[in-house]
Amino acid sequence: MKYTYYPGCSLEVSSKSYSDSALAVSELLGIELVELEDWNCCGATVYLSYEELISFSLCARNLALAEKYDRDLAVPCSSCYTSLKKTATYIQENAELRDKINQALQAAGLEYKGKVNIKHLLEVYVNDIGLDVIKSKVKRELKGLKVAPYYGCQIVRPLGFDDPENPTSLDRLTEALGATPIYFPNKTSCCGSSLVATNEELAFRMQKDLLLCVSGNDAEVIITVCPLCHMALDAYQKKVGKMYGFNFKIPVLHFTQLMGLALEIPSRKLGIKTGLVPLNKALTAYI
Amino acid sequence: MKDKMSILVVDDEPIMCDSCKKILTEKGFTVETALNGEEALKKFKKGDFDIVIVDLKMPGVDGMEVLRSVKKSKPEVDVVMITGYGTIPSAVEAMKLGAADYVPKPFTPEELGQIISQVVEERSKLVAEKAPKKGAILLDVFKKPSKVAYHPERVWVKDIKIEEALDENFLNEVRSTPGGERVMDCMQCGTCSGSCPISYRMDYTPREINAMVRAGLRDEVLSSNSIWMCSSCYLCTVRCPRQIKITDIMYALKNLAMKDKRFLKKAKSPLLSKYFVDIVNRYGRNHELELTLKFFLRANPRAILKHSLMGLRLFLRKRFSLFPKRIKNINQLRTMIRKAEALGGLR
Repeated sequence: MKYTYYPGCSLEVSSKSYSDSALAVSELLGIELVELEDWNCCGATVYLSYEELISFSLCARNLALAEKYDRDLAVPCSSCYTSLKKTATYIQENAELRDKINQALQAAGLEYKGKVNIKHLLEVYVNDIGLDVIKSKVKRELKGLKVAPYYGCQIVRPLGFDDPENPTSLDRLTEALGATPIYFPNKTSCCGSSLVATNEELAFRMQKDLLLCVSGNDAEVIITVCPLCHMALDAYQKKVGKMYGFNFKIPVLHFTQLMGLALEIPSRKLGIKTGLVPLNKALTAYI
Repeated sequence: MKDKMSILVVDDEPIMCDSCKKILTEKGFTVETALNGEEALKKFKKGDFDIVIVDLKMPGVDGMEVLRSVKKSKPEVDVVMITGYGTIPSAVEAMKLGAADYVPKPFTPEELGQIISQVVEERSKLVAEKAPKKGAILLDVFKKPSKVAYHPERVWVKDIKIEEALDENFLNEVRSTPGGERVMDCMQCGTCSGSCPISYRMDYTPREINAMVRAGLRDEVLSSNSIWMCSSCYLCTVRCPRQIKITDIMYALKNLAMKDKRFLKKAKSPLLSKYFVDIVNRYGRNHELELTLKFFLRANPRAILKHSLMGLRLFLRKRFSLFPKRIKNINQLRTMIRKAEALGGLR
């Protein structure tokens, strides 16, 4: 199966291990991810706050570029996924927006007809490839590993492919790898990533609630489906713990990294040691 | 306020009444006189006076009695006491009863004119303060209980000022945004505010913001921290029983606030957005290191020091790049952005 791949800015540098592991896992599952030629930033929440029309147009350029190929667009970042999918949906629904975006695209010699199907990478694995196939490819079952499958917000809301309140795709994928998803009632709570620069204290409070739930339910690893959630929970974990008097030490992996471990992909290829929270014994057992 | 303010002068000396009437008429007031307390109260009851000037010592109903009656029936009327027997206790008592001023006899026409001018000035200030401001009635409803006593009954206060407060264009601006179309469907159930992980820290909760948008309280909404606190998690949107896209409304409000510097004084998010936009417009992609440094240098330089170790650890793991990644066809992107700008946005 062939997909056009839109990595997004975070996966180029700060979460390169997400992209590396996604490419390695996909290859093993028989998925070819072809990077979209000359893609640009999706605008995320930040550009959208500044100017909506330009922000939608940024996404529309990517969609116009992707439309040249008759393939679905696979997106690993939840924020890019929502930005692109929202743009595609609103272009369909809102004639005035469609007209203005088309004018902007035309000025740049581009055109978008509205045919691109946008999918999150998790959606590709769980729905297109299927858990049975993944299960059959598992070489090393992650037996007994307690995993916190963290969805965050923008993969399931507002236009996600899973239940917006109680999604299960990542839980089921975890089980397919032989691991055990923990009881995690706030698995779709916001990580506060978009506030961490502008209102750190508030963002830390949101992260603290997540980390408390995860550690309280004895998770040995958190897996994320978004580079921004990963950064929030990994890079800031120590600071959040310090602020609230907890000694959190829960490694955070991109979900593709955990898949890679079960598929016996060399850990170096997965960038497994690029997190700031050191790996624990439960994880090193699989490396 | 009336065009001409009217004054009642009360003194048992006819010459005093006449001279006061002459001085004040010249100054543009409508003046009536009374020669004793009884006559004064009768005239006061019938007439519509703004100021009463009354002699303290009079046979029968004296000045203090007149002051008391006037203040009891119409507390908004100003009373100036005049007397030839100025003593401290009587002055204190008169002020306690609410006299606006206390003038000992004899006084020159200028002195009388000056005192009355002062009283008039104070009155106009008070009238201006008491007059309902644009949106004032509605705003009371939206204030948090901690700031102002909450009067749910005021929700139903009918005041012609409400119409004046409506900035219908504000509502239209929000409705014309993708996602903002259904704001009028809000039934104020508060599911959005109850779901929002941050509403407890907002000046106004999402439910209140919806109501305020509809009421046309533009300045209050756009200067509130609520719009910048929204972390865009869309929980409100997916839970709203009326399918109102509240997160999108927040984006519309951020965009509107961005266009007016008055609203951006306190919030840091607009600054982050501005730097982000600059970077994306320049390279076509985000450059995380540049954005982080630029933003914190301006918004919170101490944070750079505070997070320097974390930054270094990320850098050592190659999670920060010193150089930006650029797209090849940046000119195409810029042409598109310029065109979108020329189209004047969504509103």
